[in-house]
Amino acid sequence: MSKIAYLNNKPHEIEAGETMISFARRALGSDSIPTLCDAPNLEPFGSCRVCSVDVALEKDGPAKTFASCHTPVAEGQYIYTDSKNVQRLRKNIIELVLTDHPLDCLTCEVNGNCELQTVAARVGINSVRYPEGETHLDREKDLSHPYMTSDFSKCINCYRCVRACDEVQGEFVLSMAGRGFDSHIIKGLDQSFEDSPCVSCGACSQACPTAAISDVFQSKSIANTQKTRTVCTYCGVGCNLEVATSGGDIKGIQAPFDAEVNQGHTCLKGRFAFKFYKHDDRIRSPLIKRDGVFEEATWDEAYDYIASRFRGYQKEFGPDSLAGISSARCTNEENYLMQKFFRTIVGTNNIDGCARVCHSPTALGMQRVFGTGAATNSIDDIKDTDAILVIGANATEAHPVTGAKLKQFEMSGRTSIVIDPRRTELARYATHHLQLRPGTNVAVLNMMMYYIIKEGFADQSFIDDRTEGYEDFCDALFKLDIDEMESISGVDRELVKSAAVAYATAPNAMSFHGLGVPEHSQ
Amino acid sequence: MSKNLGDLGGRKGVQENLFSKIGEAAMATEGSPSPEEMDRLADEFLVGKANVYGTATFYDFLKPENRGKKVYVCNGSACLCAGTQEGLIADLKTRFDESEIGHMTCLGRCHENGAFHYEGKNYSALGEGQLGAALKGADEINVDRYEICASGEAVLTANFEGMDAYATLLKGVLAKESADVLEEVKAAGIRGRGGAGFPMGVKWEFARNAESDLKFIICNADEGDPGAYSDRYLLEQRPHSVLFGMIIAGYCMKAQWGVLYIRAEYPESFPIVEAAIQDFRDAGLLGEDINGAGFDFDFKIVQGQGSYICGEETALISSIEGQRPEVRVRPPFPAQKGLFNKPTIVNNVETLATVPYVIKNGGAAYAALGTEKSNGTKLVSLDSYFKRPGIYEVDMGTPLATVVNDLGGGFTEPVKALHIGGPLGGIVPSEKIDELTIDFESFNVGGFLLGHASVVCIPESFSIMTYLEKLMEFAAVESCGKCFPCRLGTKRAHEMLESANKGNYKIDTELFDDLLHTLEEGSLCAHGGGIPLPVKNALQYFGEELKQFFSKEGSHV
Ligand SMILES: Cc1cc2nc3c(=O)[nH]c(=O)nc-3n(C[C@H](O)[C@H](O)[C@H](O)COP(=O)(O)O)c2cc1C
Ligand code: SF4
Ligand code: SF4
Repeated sequence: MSKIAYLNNKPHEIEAGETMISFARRALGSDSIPTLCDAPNLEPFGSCRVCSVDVALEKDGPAKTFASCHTPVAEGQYIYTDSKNVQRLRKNIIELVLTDHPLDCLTCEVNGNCELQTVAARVGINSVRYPEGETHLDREKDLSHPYMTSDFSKCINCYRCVRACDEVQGEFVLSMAGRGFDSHIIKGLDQSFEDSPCVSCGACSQACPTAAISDVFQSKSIANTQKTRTVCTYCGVGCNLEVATSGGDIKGIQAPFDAEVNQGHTCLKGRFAFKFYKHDDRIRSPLIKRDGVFEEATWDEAYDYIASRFRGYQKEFGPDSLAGISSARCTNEENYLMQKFFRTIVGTNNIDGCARVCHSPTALGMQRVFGTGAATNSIDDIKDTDAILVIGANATEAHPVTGAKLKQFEMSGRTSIVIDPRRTELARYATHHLQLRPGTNVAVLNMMMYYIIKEGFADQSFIDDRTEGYEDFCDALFKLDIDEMESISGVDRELVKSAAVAYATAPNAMSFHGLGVPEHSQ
Repeated sequence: MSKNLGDLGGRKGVQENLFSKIGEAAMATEGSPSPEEMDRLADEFLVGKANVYGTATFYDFLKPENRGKKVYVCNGSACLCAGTQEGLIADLKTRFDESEIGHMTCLGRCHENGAFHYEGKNYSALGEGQLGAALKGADEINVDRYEICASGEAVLTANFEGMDAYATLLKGVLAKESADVLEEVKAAGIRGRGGAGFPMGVKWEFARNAESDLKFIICNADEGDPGAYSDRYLLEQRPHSVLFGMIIAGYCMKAQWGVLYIRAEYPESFPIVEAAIQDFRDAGLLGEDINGAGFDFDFKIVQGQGSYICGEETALISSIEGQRPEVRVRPPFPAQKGLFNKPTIVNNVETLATVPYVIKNGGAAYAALGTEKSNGTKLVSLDSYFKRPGIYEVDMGTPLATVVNDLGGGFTEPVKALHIGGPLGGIVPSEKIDELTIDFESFNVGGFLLGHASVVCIPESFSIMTYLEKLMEFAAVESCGKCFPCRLGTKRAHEMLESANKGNYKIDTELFDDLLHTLEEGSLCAHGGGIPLPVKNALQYFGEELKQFFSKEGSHV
């Protein structure tokens, strides 16, 4: 049986566990209730109170006021999203905010794209009635950092930046300091962005509803109206990006909230490191090397030249005289086209990519074991797993968006095993860090398997149904000398054993490996 | 509140909590932790440096401004109305540099006032000689004397029968099924004495039903209400009752830890409570598998660092975790996700101290006391304007007039209003004293709040406007700052009251009304939400006295 609650006296079906604001947004549209502290990728926080609604138990009955962002909706409630009482409250809250906010909208970098401005207009503020009091308008700008900027005279204390740094990036660079009216955002030990441990992911600046935290590109400026959705090519995570351009120039990059891969987050590379696209060092036209010297050419010339030389070699020496190599920095689609071109047009299987160096052992190994040379889980599964094992991967550095998700997982205290010679960021937060000697992965993994089987945690029905050669495998494993494994790897056997048991006893476990593993086979 | 910070704090457990370590670091460096130490703690606890800094700067006794403070003068409302503090400060200035004099809000010496804190002890300076003696560390000056009396059944103020009697009683209970013990507590129907009046047994049941192998019972001994000292009385004179209550709570809800969060302003309480814990330990009533009942339980004392909002239960939980003590949204309720995101119950000192009586006499005996909806007895604390200041235990439903006239012996000088139930309680004009009885309902119906039932007298000679100004200053200074209405609203309200009181400005009545509405309806917690009550009481009952400060449009004079 579906359950009903009322929005402005009209019945709507409610969903289990939803808050009043998500209920209203679903039923009445995404901007049915104004708010300043709520953000799509953050937990409900309840600081601004602008989302308050009136709630009665009967139609037009006596109402109480609740903040809709963190109050669960219940069956039979009558929710009034725009009552006189609520309108008065919202207006008066915003008036209070404006007693401590510069009134220089027209020259502000986010003019026209400021959530405070939008909400103020919506609730209809025309003047601030308060007598002059203490303000924080004299706070100084922080322009110390190559990317991040702040101007806390514009801060409205919504904590979105603090929460983004914590809940999304997991870095804890930002916090509120002081208390009451004196509370203010700090970075590190009240340092500048440059001196703070900021990793420049830009999550705070994207989360900030005003210009209080921004970036050197002024990414939130409304002047950048042209938006193009694309995929980041820096690493394999594949973050969706929204690139703002004006006159063909990139002005700033944001991460769309509806992107499945990165849900409104990206790292400093994807968000800020785009200036190379127009760097002076880049070639701007095709170059053809003639007599040992590169000469500029038009695309037509270049294509004609490629075609004629390729055809020449093809005819003279056969298609296998040609080979193509493409790059992991290209998209999957581009790589696909490249191999298609070589196989069908050139007629050779001589096609490779730079990933050969790093990933061929992975692809081969995974194919042999699982039947396909690709990951068997999606990143989203991190939400559902009970344990993770990370080996030879420094994901917070190399794949920061996935790394941040792994770190979030680790912080929850669930089993996390990191096998790495270095005390990486993920190792710092892991429940088990097996700090092996470089190049001794096999020894440690053998020890783990040894203990899992020895301690009786092997899943016999899985083994019976889906594996072959298990006895041989066990024989080989049990012949191993644990003393030797321990001395090769330098990892205490008790630590390995406890990690093995934790991994084996987790209802669901996921493992991650990075280049620290396959590159050892080189 | 941050889930991550709660989980990370949980890795070290309550014994090794970050908050206590920041406190220790502050002690080691003249009252505020050094940057190096904050950096080190951040690393140790895997949190951000910003988190440690953000926490340290929240508290009066951890923030950098606290460095070098040697003596702290009470600026609570009772000392304010008593008018003792200006002279005290003047005297102290002859002995200390001004920068060495700080403030503490309510040392719980409301029965004699003139209170100050020096080198870990509280004193009341009632004469020049006493101040000198106190500063020399004379112990007899540190002793405070006040009336303690039960007008009816002595539930809380009954004599402590000794550890042996308690041990026998407790062992008897631990032999019973915890579910049956809980039923007994529920039958008593005791409602929380910390302010909200929620039934204790029901709360315990929520936590009992929450699945977790780690749970906490926290005793809220942060008695921050200026004018209140009944929890201090219990902590210092009946500590065993409080601890007994916590052990029973732990047994009923299957908690392993009892955490006492005691405010730093009550330094004398710490050694007393520690000694009482030792008594339980010596009797074999702490540790693992207590009395063979398969029940593990131990205590941890956490010292507050000077912040009123830490009395609010979710702020208190964040405080112990070393997070900034900002009020959390509910749900999740602490009974589901509290300390370190584990099921947690927070109960007031006085609430917990009733448990021995309930265990000994049965829930029904307790329920028979008091009124139908407000069971049991209540401690009322009276300040120094009473002829017999002290702690009085009365049956719920006892007329306020009985407390004021018969127990308290009336006033030493004309009093125009009583501020009852702390800063967020109502201001009761003298003419209403005869209409009220000590119970939740009577105060609600009258438009006031029983709260913790502390009574602070506002004498005839004291300006109500000044009282409101100081009250709003307290509200602003103690606001956690999380929600917009309270962070900004209490500040602006204080500014308006202050400048109107100085005669520079007349407050715009409509704006003021809007502001009170915003605080009341919009605030996240009862701090911002509750402060309009006494202000409205004052406007209603002292309109004549206040009208000179208001005008229809508001204007500068
Ligand atoms: C601003 C504020 C301050 C509070 N201070 C205290 C306090 O000092 N002591 C206390 O026991 N409860 C205090 N409370 C109430 C607690 O949040 C909580 O309701 C109480 O500790 C629950 O215990 P009880 O059920 O035994 O009353 C305060 C609440 C608010 C909103
Ligand atoms: S800097 Fe921006 S996001 Fe952070 S609290 Fe201020 S206004 Fe909110
Ligand atoms: S009402 Fe005040 S004290 Fe309570 S959450 Fe809001 S800012 Fe904090």
